[in-house]
Amino acid sequence: MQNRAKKPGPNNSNVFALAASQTRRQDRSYYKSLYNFNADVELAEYSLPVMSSLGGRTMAPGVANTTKLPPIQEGASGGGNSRMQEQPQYDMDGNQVGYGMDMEMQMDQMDDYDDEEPDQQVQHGQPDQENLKYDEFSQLITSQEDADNNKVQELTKANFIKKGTAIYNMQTSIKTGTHAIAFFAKHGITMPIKFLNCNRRKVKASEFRPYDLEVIEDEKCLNSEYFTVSSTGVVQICQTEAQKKGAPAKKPTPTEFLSLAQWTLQSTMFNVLTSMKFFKNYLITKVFDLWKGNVRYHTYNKTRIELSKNLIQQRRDFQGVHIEINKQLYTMEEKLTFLVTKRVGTMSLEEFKQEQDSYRTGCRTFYNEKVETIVSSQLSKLVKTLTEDQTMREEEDLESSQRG
Amino acid sequence: MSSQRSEDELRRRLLLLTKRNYRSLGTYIRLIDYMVLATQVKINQESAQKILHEMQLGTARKYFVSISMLFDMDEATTDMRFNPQKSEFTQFFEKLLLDMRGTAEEVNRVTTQPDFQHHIHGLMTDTQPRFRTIVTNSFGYTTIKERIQS
Repeated sequence: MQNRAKKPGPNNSNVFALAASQTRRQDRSYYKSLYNFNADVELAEYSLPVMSSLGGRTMAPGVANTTKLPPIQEGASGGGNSRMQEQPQYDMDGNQVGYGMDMEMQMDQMDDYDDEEPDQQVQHGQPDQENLKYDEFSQLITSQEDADNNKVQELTKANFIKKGTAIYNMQTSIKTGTHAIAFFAKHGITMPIKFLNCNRRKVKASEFRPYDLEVIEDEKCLNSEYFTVSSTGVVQICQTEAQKKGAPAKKPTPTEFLSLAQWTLQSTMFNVLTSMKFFKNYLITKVFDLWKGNVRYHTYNKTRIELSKNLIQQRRDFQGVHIEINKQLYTMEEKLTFLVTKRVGTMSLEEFKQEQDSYRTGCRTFYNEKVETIVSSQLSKLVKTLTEDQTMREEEDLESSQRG
Repeated sequence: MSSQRSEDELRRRLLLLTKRNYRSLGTYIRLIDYMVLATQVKINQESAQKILHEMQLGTARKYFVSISMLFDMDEATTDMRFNPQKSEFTQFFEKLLLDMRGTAEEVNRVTTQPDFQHHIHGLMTDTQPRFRTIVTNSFGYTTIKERIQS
């Protein structure tokens, strides 16, 4: 504190304005260095007078010089803290209604605020803050907060929601499920709006977004599956078309309840998971694989039908013959050219040789008989039939053409 | 008139079908020839595997060729000989393998039938692999031959 007090700033005015005026002369890396937190420097502001005896000690090189913060005016509770407390007020001011219901937007703005340069912060906020002192600035913030609170207080007093009123505008401004949850998380049951009905947001067929909801004002526009968001949680209701029209339910309507915290957690987890490439492309890949399988099966079926039409052995004249030939060949296969003798005991090599030779002679005769059967009783018959058939048809055709 | 037209159409289609069938005869005969050849190759492979199986039976075998052991009880050396010797066994089984191939090879081919020459004329070529080449180059035949030689 004392170290800083010995280095007065240009005007001893508001810290934001001072920081902004200095940043114009320095590059972006300077502001990044502001985030290098040094406990000694920060705690020095709270040090006791006794500690001031250590004033002569040298600070860590680069720490005091890099921060270069101006001395804090009386009443300041701490430079770092005040920055952190006051910063969100800029964002809250930008809200039209003043209740800051869009959590996502707030978070985004917070992130933007962290990234953007301080001179831009001043432009977003109040440019004339350079002339404000801390007390005035604090008063300004307090008055703004009070005004917002008063607005909210007024809204809570409403007994019903009427078109054109502030509460109605507030209700219409809630468009998505996230907005609705943020609203109930902020206000609970204090507002006249006690619940909001939502449908699933319509997305492309290739997407799967079960946690994306859109608020529906008219109950008639609700789908058979809809959601009711209240201060306690989210209820998913699945009713049949008949039930929707008011018919008594024959079966109990399936519903599911999730608290706001559970819903938010699950929604966030789902978004995190679906940002991974595997889950992100899962549906597309699955559908593509399904399509690919269907195409392959279709092609296979087409080829099979084509083959069954064109294969020779599938034609009516050839079918019977082909089956008989297959039968003969199968019988051929049953007899191998090596004999495993059934007798028990040993024999000489010569005996074994003679036995195998005689067996093979029998095999040869057997195979030739089978081939002869195939040739004479099946193939020759087929050739004869087809030749006669063709001759007969040609003669018929000739006669027919002669008759005119 | 209409029935006459349909009858003509039917006759025309029948004639086309008959011509188509007749033209396919050569191809079908060739197909049957290949099927017979495939069966012969299969028989040969299975027979060779059967030999190998019988050789690997070991003590579970209840029959086989008898072997006598001869001991030379000279003063200088004590020697032991088998009759028949290992080389005789190897030669015998190699010959057996060749004879088996010959048996399957000697089976008549369907395409050699004189009645079918008219249909398959121009369809058969000499460049197609013969039975002996198919069997000798097959992995199973080569492996079994190596096992017998070892």
